[in-house]
Amino acid sequence: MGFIKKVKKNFSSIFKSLFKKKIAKIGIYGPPNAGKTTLANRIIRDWTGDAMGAVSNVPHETRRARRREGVTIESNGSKVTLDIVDTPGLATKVDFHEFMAHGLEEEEAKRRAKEATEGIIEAVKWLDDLDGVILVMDATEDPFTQVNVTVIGNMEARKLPLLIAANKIDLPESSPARIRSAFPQHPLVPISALDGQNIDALYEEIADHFG
Amino acid sequence: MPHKCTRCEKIFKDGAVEILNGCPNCGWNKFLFVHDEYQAVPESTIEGEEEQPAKKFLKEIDEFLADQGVKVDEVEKIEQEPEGERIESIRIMGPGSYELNLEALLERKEIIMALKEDGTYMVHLPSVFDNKKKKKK
Ligand SMILES: Nc1nc2c(ncn2[C@@H]2O[C@H](COP(=O)(O)OP(=O)(O)O)[C@@H](O)[C@H]2O)c(=O)[nH]1
Ligand SMILES: [Mg+2]
Repeated sequence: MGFIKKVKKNFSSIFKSLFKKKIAKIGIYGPPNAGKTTLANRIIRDWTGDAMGAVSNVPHETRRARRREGVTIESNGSKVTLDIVDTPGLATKVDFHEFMAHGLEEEEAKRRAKEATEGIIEAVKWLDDLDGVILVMDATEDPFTQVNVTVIGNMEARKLPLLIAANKIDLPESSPARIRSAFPQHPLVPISALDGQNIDALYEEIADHFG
Repeated sequence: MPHKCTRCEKIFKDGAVEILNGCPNCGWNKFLFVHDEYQAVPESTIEGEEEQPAKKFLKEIDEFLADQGVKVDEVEKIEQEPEGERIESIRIMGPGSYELNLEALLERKEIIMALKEDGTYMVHLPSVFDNKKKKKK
């Protein structure tokens, strides 16, 4: 009896250690044009060799949440496997005129506006399934926006681990320090998703924080 | 997808026109999406207004939400909420123009869509989030 129990226990701990590498579902959130898709593409390219989605300076290029499963990141001996979700930018206003300003026809602009709106609902819905969030902010812009404040407040209420990526540090006018002082309660890594500056520090933080 | 007037319970096969103009039966302005099995009142459909601008959007949002497994079965609960508690999560300013209340979307259990600036016309939906959770666990 004791023996069986012991065997069972041993078996279950072997089982556990075999499957301990749990998968963390991580969502990449942030306002439109912060560089979420650029970052998602970089992470996926760096660790799997593939690409994820289209990058564009037209806002709301990503209108459906995109997911890539089983991306394993290794940094400083810790290893973490992630399901990565790239989301449409969270915004408080979606207007087809914005798209028309980027040269789209009215019909197409309206269609995109509707899709972006649905995409935002979808992105919010995804939050329920996630284990952590990378919040991408454009470090050249004022971090104190309604979107950032609302999203951060809500993630805190949900007790979702949050990692801030202060993006676009390749641009001279960027100021990650401004973001850090706006939201000092969360870990922050200044990066350039575009040219890869400091991206290793982000991977380290991801492995630490979500592993 | 059909809509039901939450006061007189009349069902409209494609309720966009009624949502915009109020219930032709009782004048009420709150509607719920209902499922196809209730779809048995073809005579209430108003024809010839398919160019109603918000109609297509609503229909598509509606299909989208249906895709997500949203069920409308919490009529009473929502109805008993005091008016002031109702914060719309999406305001449709016109075709292709939307205002989103992120706080409401993130925090509240139901999605409330309001059409036009006066907010007279509302569609209440119970939470996609709740449904998802129940399914999962
Ligand atoms: N200079 C600079 N531009 C970036 C960086 N990351 C993204 N961008 C640009 O910002 C725009 C929006 O990027 P995208 O990834 O589509 O943003 P998303 O809307 O957040 O997914 C594109 O023109 C990108 O090339 C960065 O680190 N530095
Ligand atoms: Mg994108």
